[in-house]
Formats: sequence, C-alpha cells, structure tokens
Amino acid sequence: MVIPYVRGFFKYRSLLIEFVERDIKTRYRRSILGLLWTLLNPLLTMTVMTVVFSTLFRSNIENFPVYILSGYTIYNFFSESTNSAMNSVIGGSSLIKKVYIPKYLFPLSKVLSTVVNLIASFIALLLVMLFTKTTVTANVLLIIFPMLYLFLFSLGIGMILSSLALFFRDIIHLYGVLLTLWMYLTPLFYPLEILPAWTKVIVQINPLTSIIEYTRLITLYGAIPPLELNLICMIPGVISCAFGLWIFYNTQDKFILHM
Amino acid sequence: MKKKLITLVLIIASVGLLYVYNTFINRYYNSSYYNVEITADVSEVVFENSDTGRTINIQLNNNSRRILSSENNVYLSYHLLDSNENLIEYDMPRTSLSKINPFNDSIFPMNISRPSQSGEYIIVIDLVEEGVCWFSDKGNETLVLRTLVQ
Repeated sequence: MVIPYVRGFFKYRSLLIEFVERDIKTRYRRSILGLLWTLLNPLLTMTVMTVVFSTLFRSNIENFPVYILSGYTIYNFFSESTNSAMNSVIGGSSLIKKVYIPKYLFPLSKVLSTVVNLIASFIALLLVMLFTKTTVTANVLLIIFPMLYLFLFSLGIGMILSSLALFFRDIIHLYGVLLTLWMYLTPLFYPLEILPAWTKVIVQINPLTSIIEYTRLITLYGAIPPLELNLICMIPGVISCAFGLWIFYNTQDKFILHM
Repeated sequence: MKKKLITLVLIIASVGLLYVYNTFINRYYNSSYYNVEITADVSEVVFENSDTGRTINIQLNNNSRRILSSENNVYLSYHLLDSNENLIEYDMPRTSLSKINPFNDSIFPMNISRPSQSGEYIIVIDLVEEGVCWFSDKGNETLVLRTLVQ
C-alpha cells in the first residue's frame, strides 16, 4: 500500500513543487504587498486581538501578544491547510479527468503551500518576541517539532476531508461551522485553568491544545517541553495521517464518478 | 480479505494509540502543580563557633505547568529537626523566589539560621504556598540536609 505512494511521490515530486509554487503565486497575485502579507497578516491579527482582549475584556495573561500569536499561528495553519486541502481534489477535477496524476498530490500540495505561511507567521512571532522583550533562547529552534506534528495532523485531516467532500458536498459548508467550534475549543485567548472541569476535558483532548501548549512553552518560557508532551502531540498526527491515507487510498478510484 | 485485515490492524493500532494518548493527557494536564525538584550545592551544613547563619545555594527545577514566584505566594523555607528526627521548629524563615517559568530551573541563595544550641540537627528544605499548603504535603520531595552546630 505504502510503496506505490513512495515511488509515486519521487516520480511526481517536480509536479508537486509546481503545484506548491502555483498555489503561492495565485494566492498573492495582483496584490501590491504580495508575499509580505504572510508576515503582515498574523501581525495585524495579533494587534487586533491584543487590543480587544487587553482593553475590552481586560485579560491579565502575561505577555499577551506572544501568547495570542503563538496560538493563533497554529490554529490558522490548521484551519487554512485543511480547508484548502478539502477543496483540492474538487478544484483539480478538470486536470484529473484529462491526465493521470496521483490524486494525493492535490491535498498534499495545498498543505505544503500553507507551510510557507506558517514559516512566515513564526518569523512574525519571533519579531513580536523581540519587540516585547521576551527572552529568546536557543530552545526556540525546537519550534520545528510542533510544526512537524501540526503538519502531520493537518495533512491527515485534509486527506480525509478531500475524499469525503467529493461524496458529500455538504461537508464543505459544515466544516466551516465545525472550524468555528474547534476555534473556541482551542485555548487561543484563554488559559486552560479558567475552564470548568467538563469543558477542560474536551479542550485537553483537542490535539491543537497540546501543540499550542508546546509552542508556548518554547516561545513564552524558553523551556524544553517534556517527552510526554511530545508524545501527546505526535500520536494524533500519526493516527490522522494513517487514517487519511487509508481513506484516500480506498476511495480515490471512485473520485472520477463524483466529479 | 487483505483489505479487511489492514483495516482491522489500523483500527486496533489506533485504539491502542488513543489509549496511550489519553493516559499521557491525564498525566500531563492533571499532574500536580506542586512538582519541584530541590537540590543544594552542599550535602551537609556545618556552623562554626562564630557563625550566626549560613547561606547555601538551592536549585529548584520547576517541573510543573505554572510559574513559581513569591509574587504568586510561593516561598522557599525549611523545617528544623533534631538528630532523632523530632520536630523542633516547623515554620522557619522564608526566602523569596523570583520567577521560575514552567520546565525551567533557577538557583537561589538561602539563609539558614544557626540553631541556639550546639549539636546535630536535620534541616528539611521545602517550598510553601503561603496560606495554602507546604509542597511536601502535596507529595513533593523535600531535601534533607544533616546539620552540625559546633
């Protein structure tokens, strides 16, 4: 099952790169600031959220700009990558009908192109850390680990969604609602400790919570996250990727009938 | 048949991983806030005749998810026992702590007062959340130092 995918991946990797480049170029085509928006977007969102939560809601979380931006960056990547992966096969239907291309390249390229935004957001986060005089230690390089866990998790969910969306188009609309719920169940602008016990259980199970926790330990506190937190972040990624590949593999032959 | 077998293996493996996931989630998020490793740069404290007090360096490794600081009412202190481990004084002077972030460590100089009479003593280094509890009452390990007063 896996070997043809690996072979196909190497055979079609130039096409994959082409897809990723095309995605990035199309995203910022005709905009004056272009790729600079990848930096500006998280910075502006962080500014809005910091103003709203520190003046209107009077949040007393220490170093709120870094706190909010570290969470927002993770959630935003997940939301953006899964959303674009979900529509990727439907969007590529004209190409799929004409020539043979491994179909998994579509969701994979969408998630990979969003990684560019994620990297830019982390640069923005680093700038905010320097601006807010947060102690920046060498441990900040560990950021590669939450990025990897998040990539795996998002890719798996993206592949599941891209298959399901072909068979049930309603999922495209439903997923928007689900993402809103998911956002509130992710501790982006509130600490876990303020939640009542029953909500806390749900929020803790949410894989994004642990990935954000990991990112905050590195950025806010310059800490080396414990091994068990690495496992907590890794397991959902592995499961979602395995299921994503499995569902995609078992449904891809029927894609053409639903395009 | 092969497809069904792979699906079954995938489901069983996922259930197993989810069980491990849940165990780690509980361990990580519900672990005690009172989880600090205490070490010192000496294994025993000796008071010479002229000493009125001794300063030792205490290293605190904050293994919890919260920030430890005297601003949050957490202080370093100790209990004084005689050589037979009978309690002499439970509440000894406090040492203020500057901020220790989660999963970080820091070293604090701690002043130990000289006991009034010469002899052998035991001091038990502990942390206290003022008005709440001693960390040792919540299961956190203390640091025991043999003390000799000449």
